[in-house]
Amino acid sequence: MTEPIDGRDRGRIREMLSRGLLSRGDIYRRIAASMTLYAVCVILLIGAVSYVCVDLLIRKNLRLSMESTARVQAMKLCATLDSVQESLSHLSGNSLLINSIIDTSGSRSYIDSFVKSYHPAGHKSVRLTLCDFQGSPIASNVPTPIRYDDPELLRRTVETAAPFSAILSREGGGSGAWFLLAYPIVWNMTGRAEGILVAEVPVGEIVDAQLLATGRRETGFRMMSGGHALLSRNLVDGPGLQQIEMPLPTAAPLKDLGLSMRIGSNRRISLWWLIPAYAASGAALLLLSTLLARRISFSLTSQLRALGAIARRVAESGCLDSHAEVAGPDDVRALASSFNAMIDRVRSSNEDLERRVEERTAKLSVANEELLRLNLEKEQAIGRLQEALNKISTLRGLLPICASCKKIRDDKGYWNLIETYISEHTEADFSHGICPDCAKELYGEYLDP
Amino acid sequence: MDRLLWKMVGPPLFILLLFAAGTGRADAGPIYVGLTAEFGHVTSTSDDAIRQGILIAIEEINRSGGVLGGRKLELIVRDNRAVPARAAVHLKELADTKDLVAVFCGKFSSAILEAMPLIHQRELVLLDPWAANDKVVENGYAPNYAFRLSLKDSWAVPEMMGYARKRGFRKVGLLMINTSWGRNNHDVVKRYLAANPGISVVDTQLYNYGDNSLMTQYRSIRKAGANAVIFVGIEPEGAILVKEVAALPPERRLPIVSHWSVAGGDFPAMTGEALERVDLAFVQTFDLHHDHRGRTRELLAIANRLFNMKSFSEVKSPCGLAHAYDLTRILAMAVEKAGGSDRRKVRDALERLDRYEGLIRVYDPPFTATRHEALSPENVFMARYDGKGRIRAIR
Repeated sequence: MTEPIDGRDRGRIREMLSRGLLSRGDIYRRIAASMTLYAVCVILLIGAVSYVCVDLLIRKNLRLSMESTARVQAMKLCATLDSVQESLSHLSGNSLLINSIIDTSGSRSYIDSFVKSYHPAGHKSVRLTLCDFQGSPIASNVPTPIRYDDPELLRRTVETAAPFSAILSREGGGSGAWFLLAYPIVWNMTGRAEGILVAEVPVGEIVDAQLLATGRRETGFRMMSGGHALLSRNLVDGPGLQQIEMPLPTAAPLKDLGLSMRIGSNRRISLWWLIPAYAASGAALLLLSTLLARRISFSLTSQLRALGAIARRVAESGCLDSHAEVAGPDDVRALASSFNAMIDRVRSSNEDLERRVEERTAKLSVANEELLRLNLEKEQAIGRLQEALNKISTLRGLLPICASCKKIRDDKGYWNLIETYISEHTEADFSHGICPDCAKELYGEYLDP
Repeated sequence: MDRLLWKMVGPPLFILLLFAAGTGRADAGPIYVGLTAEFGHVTSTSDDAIRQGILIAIEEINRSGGVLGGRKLELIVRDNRAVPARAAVHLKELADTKDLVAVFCGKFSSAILEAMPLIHQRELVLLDPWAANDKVVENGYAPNYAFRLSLKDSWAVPEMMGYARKRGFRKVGLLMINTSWGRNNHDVVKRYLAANPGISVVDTQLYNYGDNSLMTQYRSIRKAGANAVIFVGIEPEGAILVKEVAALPPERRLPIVSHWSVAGGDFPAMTGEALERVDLAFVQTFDLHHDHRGRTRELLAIANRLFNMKSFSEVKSPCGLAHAYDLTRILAMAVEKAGGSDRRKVRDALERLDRYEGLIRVYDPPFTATRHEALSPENVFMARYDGKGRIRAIR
């Protein structure tokens, strides 16, 4: 079972590594190791900075490229849409249309074929319907035309004689989204809109044709109106995917729809290829720097090693006759000079020390003899003291004494006078006398009051 | 007792019933006449002329006691701007109007042709004081609810072609509006040519409403070797043609023989001095400056009262006024004969009217079951504008 490495362990490992690399071995190896370690740090730092810089650079370049692409796309798409609008606007001014509106019953012989043959800006999929002022179809290029009677459409086109646009949701057209473009057909005789030209423009087909023409299908595309997506082509949303949004400054009436487009790269920016490349170059650089460090450090420490050999020889043989060669860099030369000076100084100190040792040794011999004599005397005194001490020790312990006569029982069970006992067991002698109290007791009547 | 009571109560009751019957008819409300025409047109004057003709006739009729024992005639006007869809809306609305007996149309045949099914479905009597397309009356419906007191293309074309031939123009070019009206004229021309080999059509050109120039078509006709242009169109395109031809050197200007609708607007004002430099003649049916049995003075007096009109020179489209006037008078007769506002009966009455001395001619009778045209080819003549912009017959 593997235990997790905590911070303390990491510190210890770091310390061990540091000691192993930098504190053991020859100095030139340590210098080389230090230089290598430094090179590793520099390589890692350069690698990290390079990675970030390359990433930023690639992202910036990609963004610039996409902006440029988006601008071109927007321009071309606007041009396409505007050409459709221009074509429809131009068509709405065609006198044949107003003729058809005024002559509904007589125009069927030509207006159907005219409308069916008209393809705004070359787009054959545009559904064209010519309507009267109520939105009822007069002619159309679709088999079953519908009524365009939306009140807002009629208000804008018929009442205000202004073009109208809207978003339709219909089947087909590549995406289901269609632009509805309605243009008033104004008769110069009345100065008012007498009919409507309605076009349903398939958003998907126009966008697809444009994307195909510009060869940009690999990038994602989305068209929006007022923030709502009309169609999407391969555009993937997600973090790390760059997208550029750009307004589509179309002419009226499509302008009212607030069209915009968004393009995006569906490829995530991956710099994994950079890592092996960088690892290979970093390893080569590390190897080179290691060799170089060893070489440089070896060269730098050659004089030190010579100095070390002399020092070792001096240490092993004790011979202080060797001298280091004073050569190499200034600091090494200074070290060699100092070393030689140190050898000379050590040799001089040694000689002085020997002389002083001899003098001291002589003094020590005299002192030693005196010391031996004093020691003997001391031992004798000690013997005496020991003997006295032994005697003193006989009075130690519990002495059985008669409470009346004060005789003391010895080890053999005999009762002795206290004077006898003490005299036998100590060196004390007794001189007898009478104390005043006893004298008073014994001889009170004889004594003067 | 009963006889005494009857003698006392009977006379006052009889008087009361008579009074009630009399006031009942007068209080029944007006009889309506509709008019849907191109009032929104900037240059058109035919619509106003028609409205004035109807109103003058109504004024006369109402001042003489109205119709159906005292009911007034009233005109309901709608502006269809020559758009068939709008005319259809108006016709539906008018058909739903109580006591509406008939509807007048305007200058544009196309506005009415589209509504023929609706007119006959709703049994709406259509009175045509201007639209010249033959198919307005020859519509194939039976019973036919369309009646015309106006020019029709089958009479206009022979008049124009005959005039050209009289002028020595043996090769003519047709310049026609690209509508059913223009194509109808073309059909009539083809029929005329089949019967009259003395004149030929060297080129036929079409144009559309709203075209800004007719020079391309004119050059094509001239290049084909035409001696004159037969023009079928209304006043805006007619004015363009006249101004463009007038701008050419005199030797390149072809005479223009036109259908009558150039007079559907104030053509002299629209063309200005160019009109004097172009040889233009056009079809008409009524010369307002000719005293028609003294009736024109009577009409002017009413027009003066109603519209503050001082002279008939103020009427830019006299045919419209005269046709509408006569047609309104004929309608009033038919309403009287029908005895009510039932449109079916009014239609039938129109076919059974007696002789009527109108402004334009004596109608004897105006219509029959087989003839819904009140005028005849004899009423058609060529005219031109004089130096003062007045329409003068070419005698």
